[in-house]
Amino acid sequence: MIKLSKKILIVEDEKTLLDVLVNKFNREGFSVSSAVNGKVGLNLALKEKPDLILLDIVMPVMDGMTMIEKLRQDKWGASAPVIILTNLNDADKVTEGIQRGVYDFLVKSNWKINDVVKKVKDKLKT
Amino acid sequence: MTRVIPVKYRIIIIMTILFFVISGFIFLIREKSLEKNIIFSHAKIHIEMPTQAVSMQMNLHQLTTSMEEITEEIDEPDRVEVNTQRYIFSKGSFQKSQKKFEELVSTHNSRWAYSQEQLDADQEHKEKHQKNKELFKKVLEDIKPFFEMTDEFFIYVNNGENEKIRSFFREKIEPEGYNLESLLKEFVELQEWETNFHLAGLQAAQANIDNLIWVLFTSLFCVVLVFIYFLVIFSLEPIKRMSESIDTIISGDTEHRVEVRTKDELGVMASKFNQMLDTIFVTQEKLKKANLELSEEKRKSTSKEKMFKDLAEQSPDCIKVFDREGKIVYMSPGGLAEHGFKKEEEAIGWNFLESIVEKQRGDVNEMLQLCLSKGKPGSMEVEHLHEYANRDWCDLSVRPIRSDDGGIVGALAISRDITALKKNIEVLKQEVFEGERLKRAMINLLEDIEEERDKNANERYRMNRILHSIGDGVLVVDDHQKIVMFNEEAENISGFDLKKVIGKKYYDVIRLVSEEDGSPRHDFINEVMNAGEVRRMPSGTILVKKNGDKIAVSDSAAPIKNKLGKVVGCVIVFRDASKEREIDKAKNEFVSLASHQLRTPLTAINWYLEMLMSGDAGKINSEQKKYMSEIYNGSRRMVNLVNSLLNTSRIDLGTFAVEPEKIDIRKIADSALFELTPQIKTKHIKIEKKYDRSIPFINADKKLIGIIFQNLLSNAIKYTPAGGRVRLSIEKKPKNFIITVADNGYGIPASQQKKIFTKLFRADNVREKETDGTGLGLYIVKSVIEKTGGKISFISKENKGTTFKVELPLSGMEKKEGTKGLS
Repeated sequence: MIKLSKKILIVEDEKTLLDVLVNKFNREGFSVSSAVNGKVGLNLALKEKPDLILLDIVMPVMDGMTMIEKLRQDKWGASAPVIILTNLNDADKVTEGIQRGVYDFLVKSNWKINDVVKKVKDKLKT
Repeated sequence: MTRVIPVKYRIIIIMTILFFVISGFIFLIREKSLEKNIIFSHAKIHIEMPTQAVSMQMNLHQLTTSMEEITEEIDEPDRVEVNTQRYIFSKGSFQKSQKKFEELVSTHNSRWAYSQEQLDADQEHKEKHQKNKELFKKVLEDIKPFFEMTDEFFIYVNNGENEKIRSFFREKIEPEGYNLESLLKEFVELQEWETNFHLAGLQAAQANIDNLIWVLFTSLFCVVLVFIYFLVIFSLEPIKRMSESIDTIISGDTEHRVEVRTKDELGVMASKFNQMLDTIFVTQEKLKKANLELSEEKRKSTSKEKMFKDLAEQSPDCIKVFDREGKIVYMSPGGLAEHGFKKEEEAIGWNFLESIVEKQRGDVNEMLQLCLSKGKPGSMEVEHLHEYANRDWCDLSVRPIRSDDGGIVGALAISRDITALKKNIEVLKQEVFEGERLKRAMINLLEDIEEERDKNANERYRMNRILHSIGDGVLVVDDHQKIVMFNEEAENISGFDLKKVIGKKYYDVIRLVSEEDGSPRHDFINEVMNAGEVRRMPSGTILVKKNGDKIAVSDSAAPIKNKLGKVVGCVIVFRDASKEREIDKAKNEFVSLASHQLRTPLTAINWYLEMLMSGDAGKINSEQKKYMSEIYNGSRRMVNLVNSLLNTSRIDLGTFAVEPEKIDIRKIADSALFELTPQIKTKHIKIEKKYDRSIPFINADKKLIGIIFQNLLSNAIKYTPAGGRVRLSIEKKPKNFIITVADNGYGIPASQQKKIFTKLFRADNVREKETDGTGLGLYIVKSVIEKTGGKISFISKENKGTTFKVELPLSGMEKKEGTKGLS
């Protein structure tokens, strides 16, 4: 378990999924903030400077890739750890994500929620 | 110089002079050596003289010492005895050396004259030598009385008159001995000085002689060389003169003669040479005169004859002259060539009748005889035999030759070649006949051609219409890649005009490029030409029209082969595929979007179920848990189905990406097995694993290899009854590795084995037993394997089991850019 509660930001437009993720990560002892699109997510990220961002791609207002692009322009955001969590499985998107320095690219439907938590913990440990 | 001594005498004279010169030199050398010897012997004496002088001095000292000791020890008889003996011995030695010295002096005196010369040259030596001589005389004079005193002393010793002995020794002997001793000492010094002087003289003499000998030999050598040089010059001089004279004669002065100055051998030779020249020039003059007369005579007599002969020589006809007896006496070059003679002599006397066919010989002979006997001219056409003549037919005419008085002296026969004439006539006859026949044949042929042409034209018109009416663009190229046919649809699609493209290289007209990067896509046409097999155009190809517009096309190319199977051209069929391409794109987008949309609710179901099952929302009982896991399984199946549908769509569109990296396929196999652990445990399937240790890391797409293992293993487990066995092996071969997945399960019915790789197909026997299954797995596996350079095969027997064998190249997979990965 993480002793000092780590701060994570979840950006996900699908409310059902956002709820279950927030619920799960709270239970695991994280301090969780959430956003429903890229624009809100970006503001929140720059304000709160979370330890890690879980980011969806397909979202209204501002999509995940645009958000990373803007995030990377910020001094802090340039090296902020990001894990992409999406249902798109598109080689172009994966390549683009890696070019933008994301830590991992997870296809939601193929991942158990427990494994997502484990992945986040692994990243924060290092 | 008018007279030279004969060569042999010259040599004798020179040899004699040489003899005297060399003898003189030898004599001189001998004299000098002698002189050296004299100096040497003189010096030798002077070396011995100081030795003897010293010896005398020492013996005298010994003598006086002995007498002194006797005097001192006169009262001890034993000692006197010993000293007496020493005294006797010393005296003997002294006398011996004195005698020797005298001998030396006498020898020395015999060469005194020479020494005297040397003495004159050196004043110091002269004085010392004089002193030496005087001193020596004094020594000789002083010794005598001294010995007399010693004799007296000895008498006293023998008589034992001790007092007398003492006084005699002290008063007489001692002072006298001392005087004599100092005299001898001075004498020895003089001797030594003189010896050194003589040694220096000896060395100087030696050096003088050596130099002299060297100078003598050098001058002797030069003298000999000069003699030899003059000998050669004198001997060669007459020869040189003779050679110059010959040069003068050769250069045209025939009157010139060699000058004879001497009567020696060379003189004799020169005069003989002159005689020879005289003879030669006289003979030459005679010859010239004779030749002149002869040529004048000849010119007169032959000018007329030559004219006639020239005529005969130039004529291509065979001209023969017979004598009265009918024998050939002349034959012209034309004749010689005709009858195959190399020289005229061969033809003289030849019986020319043998060259004529037998049946004509009598007639020809008769004609010739009539001409010779009665002067009757005649002519006839004669046929020759091939072995005697290279002309078949000749026109032979004979005329008599008469002398000035009108008598017949011979006959002239001229035969002219008429073979060609005869042949031409024959050919002409034949040609007239042939022409008639040919005309008939031509008429027939023309009729046939007319008929055939009509037929071909109809056929070609029909073919052309078919090709031109085809809905696809058709383009035919020859083996030089030049366009030979271009139909209407091809014109429509490309925008090029038929007339302008015929004969051009196809790639200058039909520009096929890749949709993605615009690179040329003509390779498949070259492959058709090289391999002689049908090829399809790679997907995503577009054609650049004449106006620059781009249009998606789909096409194939097939080789045109001749009867021998050689590729002589290629047919390229293409059509506008822009609509298809649009539909494909729409379908792809739809599948992509649909699967995304489908995945979201599935994810929600899965994640909430997971939360429930792990008790996050409160405790659940075992029955609830069982139901939830059923729901969960169903949902997972749904996820797999969505993934499979998406993969299928990407395979169909050819848009899946291959991204190779270094991987250990054993690890991927293990991970696929691990994921299947729940099913393996539930069904108690026994897994047998066997991996070759030498399997290297290969360059391959992790996901694609994972899909292969996942599908083959899950099928094997799924379609094997509980308690069955599944064997997985990976072997390394030289060029590839082989994955084998074998089970002892339900197997595939023989009748359906052909279809198992078809999309959405499921065999009847398993459909009854396992409702779970999409029918997409093997389709995806086969597509992935084949598109990455591998092969898949299987053997199966219903209710016995199935074995799948996959071969993948060790070289790995090539990177393929695509828009989508498989999942």
